[in-house]
Amino acid sequence: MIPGKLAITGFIILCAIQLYMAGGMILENETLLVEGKIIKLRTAPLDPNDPFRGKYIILNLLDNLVEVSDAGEWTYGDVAYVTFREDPLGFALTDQLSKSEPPGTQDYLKVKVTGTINRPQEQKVYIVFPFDRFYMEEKKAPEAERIYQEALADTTKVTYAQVHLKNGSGVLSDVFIGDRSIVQLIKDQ
Amino acid sequence: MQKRITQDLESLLERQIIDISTADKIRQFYQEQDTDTRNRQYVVFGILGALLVGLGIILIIAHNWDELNRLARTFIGFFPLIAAQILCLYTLLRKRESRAWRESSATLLVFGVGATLSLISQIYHIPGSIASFMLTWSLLILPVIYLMPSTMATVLYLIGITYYGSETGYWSPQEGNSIFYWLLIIPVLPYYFNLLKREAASNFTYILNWLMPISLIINLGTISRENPEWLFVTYLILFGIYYLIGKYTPQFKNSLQNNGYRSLGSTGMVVLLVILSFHFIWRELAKEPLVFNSLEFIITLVLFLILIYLIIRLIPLKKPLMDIDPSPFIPVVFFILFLIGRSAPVMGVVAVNIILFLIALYTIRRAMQLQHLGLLNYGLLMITALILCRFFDTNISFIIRGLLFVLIGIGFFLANHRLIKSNQ
Repeated sequence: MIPGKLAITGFIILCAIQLYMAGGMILENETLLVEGKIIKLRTAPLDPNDPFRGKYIILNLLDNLVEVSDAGEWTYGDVAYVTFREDPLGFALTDQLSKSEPPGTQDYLKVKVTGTINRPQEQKVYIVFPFDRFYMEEKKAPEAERIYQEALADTTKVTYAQVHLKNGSGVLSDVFIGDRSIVQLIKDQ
Repeated sequence: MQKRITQDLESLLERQIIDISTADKIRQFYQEQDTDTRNRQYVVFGILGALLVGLGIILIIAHNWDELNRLARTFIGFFPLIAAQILCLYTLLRKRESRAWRESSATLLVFGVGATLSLISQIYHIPGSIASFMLTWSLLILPVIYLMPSTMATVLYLIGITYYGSETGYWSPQEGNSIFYWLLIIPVLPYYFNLLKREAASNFTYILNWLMPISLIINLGTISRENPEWLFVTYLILFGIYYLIGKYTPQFKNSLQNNGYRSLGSTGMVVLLVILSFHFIWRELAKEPLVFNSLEFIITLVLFLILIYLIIRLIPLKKPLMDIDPSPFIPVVFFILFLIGRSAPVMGVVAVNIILFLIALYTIRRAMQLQHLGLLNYGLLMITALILCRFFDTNISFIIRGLLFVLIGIGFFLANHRLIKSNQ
């Protein structure tokens, strides 16, 4: 057994580490929410769940294919940095993919390469975004799924995720159907 | 029973069957035993309570309280962690000698950390697989094992890293590196060995005596990459090592409930041999060339050397040949068979069938010597399994199959009857 005083000191240090880890995660995400640039990414949600963390909607972000000059330079698992541009409706579209952090801007996201298309007339890279889920209250997740299915029938409604970006990191703050937050939509029903 | 004896003490004294000092000694003996039982009950109920509360908190948090704002949820998220930390600190300062306090507060802390991590993940929709979640959780509770010290924290940690190893090694290799499992299990070993040295007969040690070997069995397969055929040998050698440790190490000897090693080693070997007694497995094995320049082979070789060392160290070879337990030698024989017999699958199949039959015979003979009913049926079960399996890959007529089963059934009945009778 570790002697009393040493164990207590060690334990206090452990508590500090545990709190620091948890607090650090919070601080990092809060900074992103406050300072990050807001972009809208088109998505298609689904409804699975997680044994520890509860119900969430899986976000199937649609714009996951980026045009590059030479797809042969990329392989599965590569880390990449992607920048975005806006379409006429205000939704974010992937723009440039680079191997290092793009200079002169903070509005980029660190992603992973999942595949390539390497044909003479088509040079593209598949990427996966660092957010894939939106947690919801357990009863609301299936409800959100139903609303989404209805929205699918209505072609005028677009589903999108609101993301805050800064220096390669991103945090998801809401999911919208049409112009309303999915959480708000369920509350109103 | 105990109450009855203490009640009878007065009448025993009256009739002068025992004197006062003997009566006092008896009373004291039972009082001490009573305290022991009560302490054990406190520990068990304390841990069970902490486990239930901890799991309950995790479930409540999994509800996702998105009605509340971020600040409120963050506060709630930290509550289980901080409460458990305070409880652990109190235990360290005031109740360090009480096992019940140590184990239950440590259990709560383990779940407290998990609950907080879960809630933060939910609030910020942090992605990340269950593997990375388990890894962070396990690392944050690792020091609790030594600082409290707590066996329950060790148990939960082991479950956590075993899950992590399996997730990254079998199901989602892209989510992490299964090699971390082998690094993560090292820090537990000093605690476990210390427990074996100091409290070999404690229930806590018994739990780990099962959990440690099970965890290793589950994760040994994750070493396999391009050459999985080696795994047959690797696993058989691991089971051989388990069997030797379980049978000859003083800490495990003479006990079945604390002896995960021996039980898992023996059943593991038998199950693997039954699988290897099929012809099609050997035909498949013959198709793949053996690659010696591979991680799988190196690990197999290292385990093999450990097995040989243990055989030389532990087995008393001066016994008559018939009395030597063949089980630890099976992996050695199989290793040689695997190296030379793959080109002639029939030879491998025949050899494995003979080996299995011999172990069954040895087990039945040993059961008769020891008058052990459980062991007897284990041996008979091996023979039944062997015959049952042969029905699948041989063309024996239904009449002969039927007759064989009738004979085995009669054998079961007679052997059990003989043993029960001689026990009476």
